[in-house]
Amino acid sequence: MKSLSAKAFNALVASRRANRLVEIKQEPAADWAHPWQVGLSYTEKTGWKAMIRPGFVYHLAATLPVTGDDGKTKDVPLTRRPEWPLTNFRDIGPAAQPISLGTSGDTITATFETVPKYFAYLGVGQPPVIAGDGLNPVQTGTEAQKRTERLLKACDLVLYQDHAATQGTVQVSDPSTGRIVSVDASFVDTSSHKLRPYLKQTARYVPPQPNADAFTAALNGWEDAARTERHLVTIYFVSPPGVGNATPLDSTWTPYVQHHVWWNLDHATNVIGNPLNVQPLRLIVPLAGGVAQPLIDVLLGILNDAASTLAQFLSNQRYVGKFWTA
Amino acid sequence: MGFAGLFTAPKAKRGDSIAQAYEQFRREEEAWRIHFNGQQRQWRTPHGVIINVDSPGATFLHPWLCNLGPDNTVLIRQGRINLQPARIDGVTLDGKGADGAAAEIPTFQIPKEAKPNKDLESFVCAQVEIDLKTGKMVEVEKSPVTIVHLASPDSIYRDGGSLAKNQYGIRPLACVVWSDEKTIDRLEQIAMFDYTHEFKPSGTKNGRGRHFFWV
Repeated sequence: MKSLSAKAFNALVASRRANRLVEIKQEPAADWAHPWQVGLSYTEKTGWKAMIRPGFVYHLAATLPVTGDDGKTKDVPLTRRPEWPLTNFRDIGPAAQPISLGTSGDTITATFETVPKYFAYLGVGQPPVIAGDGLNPVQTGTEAQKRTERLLKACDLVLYQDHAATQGTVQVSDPSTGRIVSVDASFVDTSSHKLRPYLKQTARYVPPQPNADAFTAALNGWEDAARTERHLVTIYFVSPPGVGNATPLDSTWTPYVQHHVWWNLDHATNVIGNPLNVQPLRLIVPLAGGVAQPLIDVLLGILNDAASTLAQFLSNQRYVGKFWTA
Repeated sequence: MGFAGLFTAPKAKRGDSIAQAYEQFRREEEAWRIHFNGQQRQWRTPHGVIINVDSPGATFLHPWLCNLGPDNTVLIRQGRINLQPARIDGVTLDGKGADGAAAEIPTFQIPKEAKPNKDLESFVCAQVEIDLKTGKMVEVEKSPVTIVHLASPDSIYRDGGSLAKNQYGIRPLACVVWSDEKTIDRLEQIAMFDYTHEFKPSGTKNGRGRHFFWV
């Protein structure tokens, strides 16, 4: 080679350029995905959607409601990897609605859900204060703060397992031979119950009231919950800074998922089968003042045999469900 | 390894031939190229190379970890119930025979005639055998914990625990997800821990006892 051609020189430069190391990227480790783990995606058409890794109760994966193209909704197991559009949200912080309202003299007091510290650190504003007559909520903070603070929305995903449940009635009669207490138990209608565990989304999950205790049940009757429930996930969305309270939830919001359950579950009720194979319980208790007094005497153990009989009857006739890690 | 051997082109001096210097430079340039060694991914462009290095994945090697193999076989990591290891044909899942001697690690064969339930699911399960007189697991010699395949463990499972009409308690390990009635798509893991098991006999005549499992 007596001279250096432009073509050869350019080829060398191109090769050198193509082989230079521009960047080394270390990809994040693929986290181990646990049961019930929620992944989120967004499209303009459907908005935010959740994809939930299958979680099982004993051997059955939970289902979630999916609406098909024909408009019909059916329950699809998580093993089929359905996508679930998120539709129910609550506001926390500046755009929040009060959880409860009360009065203190002439002043209306409002209780708001507390902004979690983590999101307050990220810049989510505080709930408004109720001023004056309470008709006009006023947002706290300076104008400067309002220009930079963020909004927060959230929704909850809840797991349910239907099971048998009973309701009971208590009647007190007063024939001449003595006072008779009759306790009848019957099944709650379970015709709409589902075999599989299932998920629901709600703007705000409120745990159910516990079943009536034996004392209350024996006095007033009872209707036990026909399902066991477990709060699985809370999904938060944080807005860009300085947006208005009515800003729609779109791809500019950042999602954060807080899981409350990480493992598959088992479920059981305290009794199985059909316990209602006994006659209604009838107790003869002595006359005493007031309708409830004889029952109270029984429950307090004044009549030990009757108390034992009543307690056994109630424990055999009432259902309580429970989840545990499996 | 030092750098000296990598740079063989002599330094250019005033008066050297450009063409000769170019040829030496070209040869050395070949040695500078980035070669793929199979440990990372390269994104090659005319303007350079971007290397993507994967961090080690978070692996959870838990008991009962099930992997679907060829011909509908399932390789199952060792798991225990009441400290008893599960066995297939008398061999523990980590490859120990009845006498404790090393043996080939067994795989579980989903039966050729197996079919899924109406939801196109079936289940690989651990089965515990108990003595109904004592409620305790049968002797070790009888392999109290084995692996079975069931289309559906029990239709009234939701009343709690693992129900059994007989001496067998069932613990689902993995859900077999089928594409259709003949084709297995994949496994979804259910069990991730060793278990404690207890049998609760029925309190009524002809009633059904319950097998409970917990971690």
